[in-house]
Amino acid sequence: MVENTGATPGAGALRPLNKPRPISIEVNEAGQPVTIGDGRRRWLISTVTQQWRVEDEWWRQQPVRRMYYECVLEDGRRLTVFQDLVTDRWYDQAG
Amino acid sequence: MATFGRLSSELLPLTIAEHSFYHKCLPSGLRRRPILHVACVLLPHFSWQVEVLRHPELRGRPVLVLETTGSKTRVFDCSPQVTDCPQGMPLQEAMARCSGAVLLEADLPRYRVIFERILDSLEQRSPEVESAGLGCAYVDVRGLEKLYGGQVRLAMALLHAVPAPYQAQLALGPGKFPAYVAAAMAAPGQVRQVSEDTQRFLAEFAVDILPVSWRTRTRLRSFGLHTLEQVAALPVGPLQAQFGPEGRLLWEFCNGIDRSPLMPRRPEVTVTERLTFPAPVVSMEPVLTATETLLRRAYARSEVRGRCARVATLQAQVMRGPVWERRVAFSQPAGGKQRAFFAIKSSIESLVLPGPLENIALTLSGLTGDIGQQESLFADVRRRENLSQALRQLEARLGKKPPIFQVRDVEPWSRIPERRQALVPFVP
Repeated sequence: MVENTGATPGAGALRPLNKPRPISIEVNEAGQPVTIGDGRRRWLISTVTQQWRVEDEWWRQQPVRRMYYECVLEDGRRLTVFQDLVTDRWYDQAG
Repeated sequence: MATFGRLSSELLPLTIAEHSFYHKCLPSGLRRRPILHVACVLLPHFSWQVEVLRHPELRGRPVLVLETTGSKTRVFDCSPQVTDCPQGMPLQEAMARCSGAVLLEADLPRYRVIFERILDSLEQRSPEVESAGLGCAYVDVRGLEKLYGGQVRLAMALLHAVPAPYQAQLALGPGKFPAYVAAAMAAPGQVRQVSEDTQRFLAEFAVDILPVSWRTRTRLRSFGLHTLEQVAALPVGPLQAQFGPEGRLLWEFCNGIDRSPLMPRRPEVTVTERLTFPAPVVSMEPVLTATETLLRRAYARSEVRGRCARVATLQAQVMRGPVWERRVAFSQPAGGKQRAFFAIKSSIESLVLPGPLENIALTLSGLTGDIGQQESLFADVRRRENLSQALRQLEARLGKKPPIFQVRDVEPWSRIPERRQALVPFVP
């Protein structure tokens, strides 16, 4: 296993774009998102059009394990969210 | 011998006279020579010292030096006996803690002029001197030890560069922050040296020593983080999440990491013209007339002829008050008096003067050689030059590097979206 150096790649000179934004999600029994909230109001998810899993950097101490969902909200907007399978937190992913 | 053990492994508190004695007495194995790149010259309560030299009756009394920005008044400096009113604290809070204090308005232009003289004096000892705000300077001491005949003589030369009333404290360290902490712990006229184990040296200091805003220090305390050791023990991620880039910086400081390079002062050509009013003026009309006269004189000077100025600074002595200052950054570099006057006039004509003005000085800075816009066959080259000029103009206006970035592909193939592109500082 590669030791975590504690260094963020390119910190200081580089500012990552499209950083995930924490959101609040309610899931059904199957673990799929049903509503999305931003702290002020909630939206119903009408359909989940795609879902895929990303497993990366498994050789690091903090691997990346995410379950992505592409959702269509009740007002027609499309949103890509993911569940961080390491921390169990949900994020909105732009880009 | 226990004393010597402590001296070698932690901190070397030494007066100049003591240093060579201790060094000779140390066993050879304990004579460790940490790599010392930077000297921190600290003038604690510098602004208060300037005020006390001007008004000696203030010595021994609790004093708060205040700075007003917009509608907010905050503590800028205080006398040594006022211990719990750090810089940046709102006036209301400071008054609640120290109700009997004498309140003074900060005379920043005067402090800057005096501190610049001290920096000039330090520059005669080392060519690389960085100003880190009023009362704190860093000096690159690499290679100077041999020139001065040892560390003690070098330290003495730096201490003697500062006039005695300012009671300089000096420390030598491997980086700017450790040197700053050691200097803050030194007594006036004393030299300290950071040991090799910087992290251990810093561990017990309170978070108040961190060079971050008062607000950040208050937040650290509200999280139960009181010492640098407690901050250093945390992973960097949560600190970044809470405090952003400042969080990473303070984590690095607490772990004895200071990668920031010494940024020496750049010699800058400025042109200053002064005028004394026959009688103190209270309205803006004579100020504008004086400004026009000063601009005519400044643009006639040989240093400015054929060049443009990016910034004009007006300074005036207010009768029985601090210096009034107004900085005007032109939207386009001004190559003549009319253009500069138009910009200054529109910036100051609606202002209310703080009191009767006795004299006025105008300084042109950010001088550039570009006075015309020449067409070029190579449009791309011209566009880059224009961008570069615009960035320099923005820098002059903001007083710091403008936050302009461009999007660059970093790992476009990555499956993790936030790794694909990044913002990098824009360099035309």
